[in-house]
Amino acid sequence: MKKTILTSLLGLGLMAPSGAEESKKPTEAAKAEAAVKHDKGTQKLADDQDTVSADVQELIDEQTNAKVIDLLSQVETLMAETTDRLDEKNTGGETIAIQTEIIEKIYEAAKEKSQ
Amino acid sequence: MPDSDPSPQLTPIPKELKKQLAEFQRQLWRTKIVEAILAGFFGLIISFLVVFVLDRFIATPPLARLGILIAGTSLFAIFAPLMMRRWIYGHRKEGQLARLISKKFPKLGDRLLGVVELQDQKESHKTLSPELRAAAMAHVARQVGKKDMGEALPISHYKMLGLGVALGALCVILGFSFAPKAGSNALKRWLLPLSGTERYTFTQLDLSGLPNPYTVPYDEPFVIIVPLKEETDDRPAIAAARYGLQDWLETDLSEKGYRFEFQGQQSSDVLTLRVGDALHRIRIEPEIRPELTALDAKVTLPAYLQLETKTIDIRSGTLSALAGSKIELEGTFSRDLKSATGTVSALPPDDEVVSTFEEASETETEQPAPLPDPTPLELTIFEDRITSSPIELGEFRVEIPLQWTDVKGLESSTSFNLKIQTAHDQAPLVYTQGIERQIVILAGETLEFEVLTEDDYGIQEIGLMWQGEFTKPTDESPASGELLLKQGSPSNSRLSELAIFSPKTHGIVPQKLTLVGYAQDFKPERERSLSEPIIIYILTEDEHAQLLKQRFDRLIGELEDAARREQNNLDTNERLDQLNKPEDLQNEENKEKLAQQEDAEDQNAEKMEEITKKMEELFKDAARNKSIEKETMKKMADSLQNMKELAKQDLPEIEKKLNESQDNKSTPEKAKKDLQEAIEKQKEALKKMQETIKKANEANNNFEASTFINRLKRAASDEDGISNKLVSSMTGQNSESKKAATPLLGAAAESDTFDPVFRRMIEMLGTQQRRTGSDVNWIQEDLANFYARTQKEIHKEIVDDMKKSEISLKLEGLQTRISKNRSFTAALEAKKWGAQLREWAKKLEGTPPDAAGGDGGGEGGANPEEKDFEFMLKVMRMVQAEQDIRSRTRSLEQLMRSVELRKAGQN
Repeated sequence: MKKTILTSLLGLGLMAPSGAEESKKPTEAAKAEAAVKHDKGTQKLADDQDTVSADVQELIDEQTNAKVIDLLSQVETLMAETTDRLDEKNTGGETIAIQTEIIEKIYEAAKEKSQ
Repeated sequence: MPDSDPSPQLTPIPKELKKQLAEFQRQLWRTKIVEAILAGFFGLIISFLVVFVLDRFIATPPLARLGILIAGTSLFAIFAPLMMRRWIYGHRKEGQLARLISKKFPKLGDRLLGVVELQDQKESHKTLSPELRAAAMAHVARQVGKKDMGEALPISHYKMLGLGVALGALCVILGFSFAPKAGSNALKRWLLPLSGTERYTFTQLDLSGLPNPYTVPYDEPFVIIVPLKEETDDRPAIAAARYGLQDWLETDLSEKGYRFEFQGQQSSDVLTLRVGDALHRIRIEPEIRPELTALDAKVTLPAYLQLETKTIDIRSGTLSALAGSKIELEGTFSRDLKSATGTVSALPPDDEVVSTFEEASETETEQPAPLPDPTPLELTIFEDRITSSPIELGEFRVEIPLQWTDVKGLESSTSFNLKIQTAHDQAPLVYTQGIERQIVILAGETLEFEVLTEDDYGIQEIGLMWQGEFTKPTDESPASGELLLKQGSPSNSRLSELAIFSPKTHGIVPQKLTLVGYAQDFKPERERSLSEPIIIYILTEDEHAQLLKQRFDRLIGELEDAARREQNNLDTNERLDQLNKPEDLQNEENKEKLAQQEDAEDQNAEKMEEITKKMEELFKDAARNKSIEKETMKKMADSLQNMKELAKQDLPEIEKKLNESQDNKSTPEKAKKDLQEAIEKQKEALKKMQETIKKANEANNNFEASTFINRLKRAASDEDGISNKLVSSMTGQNSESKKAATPLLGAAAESDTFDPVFRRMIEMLGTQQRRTGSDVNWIQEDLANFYARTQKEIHKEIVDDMKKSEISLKLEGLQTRISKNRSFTAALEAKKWGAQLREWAKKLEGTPPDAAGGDGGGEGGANPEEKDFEFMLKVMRMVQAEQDIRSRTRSLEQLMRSVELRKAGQN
């Protein structure tokens, strides 16, 4: 069954072995391409993070609860830090940890708001 | 005076007498010498004959033969000298002879002795009378002369001895004449008793195959075959043998000799073999056969696997090794070996292997490769161990029968048949975990799943590969790429890694994507193994919204079913409540009905819970899609809240009350009261369900309204795609047109010279145009129906515009143009209709939500509850956005690590 699917894929050229073969020995160009992809990806992420940061600011403006405002402000600060890190192409563990903290803080703010 | 002469006067023996005595002595000596010689010969002949005769019956032992020889030669060596001493030396003087004569003739002997003494008498003349002495001597000499002195000789045996010697010689001559081999053998054995000369027998057995002692298998019947030598003089028809003191076995002479079959023996003993005059004794020692106590295979795997040599215990007789491996056998036996043999025979593939080849044989009619000839296995013996030369395992499985013989000549009980199955380095097995085979996502979403692989040996690396495919015409290139997830090692037979795949990270725009996990082992020239493909539909927000709408439709249908069931349950409960007497509720029939109602309520609660879960999922997915209005989301949230209450609270309470109404301990009044309470709660729940359905429908209407926008936009996008594809093909900017030999523009689609690349493209665009035309027809029809239901003017306006533009007809015409390769006009027209569809979408989009189908108020009229919802919706979307960002960050990090892994791998 599996073989049939794979054979079909190969037959359709979806998983062209020639491409696979080439990929076994990545050229410098391929590596450079991956690096470019990473650079572009981090820039796009930084932009997206900045956009979300703007949404947070908008949300802060609508709030009256000081605790919620404080939490959202912390979120905004953390998001700014993440944006900077992504601008520096830093996608390592620390950046991901800050993003996790952002999510936790947003939840905390939502909880505070619902009380 | 003569008395004065003092010198003694001697008187010699008379000459006659002296002569007679000398004659007597000569006769004596001759007789005794002859006797001594004959006796010596007699002894020798007799001793030889004794050996000769004894050897005919038994193998005369060397010591016995030595004794016989000594006895025989002793007559010559001892008896003859003694005889000489006695008769020659002892009778050399006249006195000695006189004494011998006196034994026969005493008087004469005494006189002779006296004469001999007189001649030696030394006395003077005064005391002796010489004359008298001479006269006495003469007198005796006369008396002797009258006697035959030969009569005085001792009794002689030389005649008898001569006869004996003659007879013995005759026997010897006869023996040599009739059995010269036996004679010469006996002579040799007689002369050289300790030389080890085998006894000659008329029956000559060839015992070269029967060492002494001879080892036989312990407690196993054994056969002894004794052939006759070619030079045998006798070929007895029957031979006999016996083991120890057991019964004699007799056997007939066959072509190969005498075959004796003995029963199994446990103790050593002597085997006596009697064939004609041949008699042999062989010591038989029963021993347990030599056994293989250990057998190991040192398997050296092919070099590309980079694995160390393995030692495998193969006493079981089977081994599975990789084709191309080298195998050395090392065996240990229970006894030192004399010889060991083995043959490496290739065997045809077994059934299983044949079945795998069957597939190939369907397409390839190649004959199977011929089996290589069996080759002897080189085995080196060192005491009780053997080692083999390396066996190079090829494509065929191999059988190696091993036989061995120990130093005692015992063979193995059975041949040890070693079978080596040829295994092939299997391709790694790759699979994914934590993801469905088909999945629909937005471009910004990230997929996290595990790629796992297993291999029979080592895994070099695992990763992801993907290939995109546009389902609609576009001038963009489909996505294609790969990502290294983890590098393995020769000893890693299992490898797994979490794959974080974000289409956005890899710049993948919405399309159909086939994603597979791959694994690569160390086998050179082997292609990557792929997992089952995961089909990912990466959608635009519009497509996503439409998909959600379809799910929402199904979900509302299920909710309506649940409400109908609840209504039915309520009707039945009310019928029970209408019974005249409360007591009737507690009769068996009604209690049964109540129980059924309780079950029905339970089932409906379960169904409601299931619907709630689906709604939650739908809500989550909808929250991800920013094209869905917050009003729609609010209504969905309200519906969801109601569903939750119904599933967790309202319906279970009804079920509880129905249960209480069946309680045997309750009074009829209490039971009726419980039923009535259940009915009341049921009515409330039903009302809530209807409200939920209403809200869901309102949300769905909003959805539908928003999906009209999306559907119109998508149709516009399709038309744009068709237009762009045609333009790029006309201008030779896309990959297909570069492959074509002739230009697209001006070529007739029906023409034989129409390039097949363009023919294929035109067919595809025609099909796409037909689909888009059909979609537009449905949009028009759905809009009309939607207007009929909602009476919103905007929808009527659009429907009217569409009818007026005759878009359905025009799109059919466009399809015909595409099919005929009116590329230029078709591209223009598609572009025009794309713009028109987009304009209608914009017109709908520009309508405020309430006008588009909802009944929600605007921002200014929002109450606190709505504000809270709005806050929560924003927060929810924010969390989702942040989660997506985090996942994409992980994905980028994985991409970076992949590059670093490759660098490390190359270094």
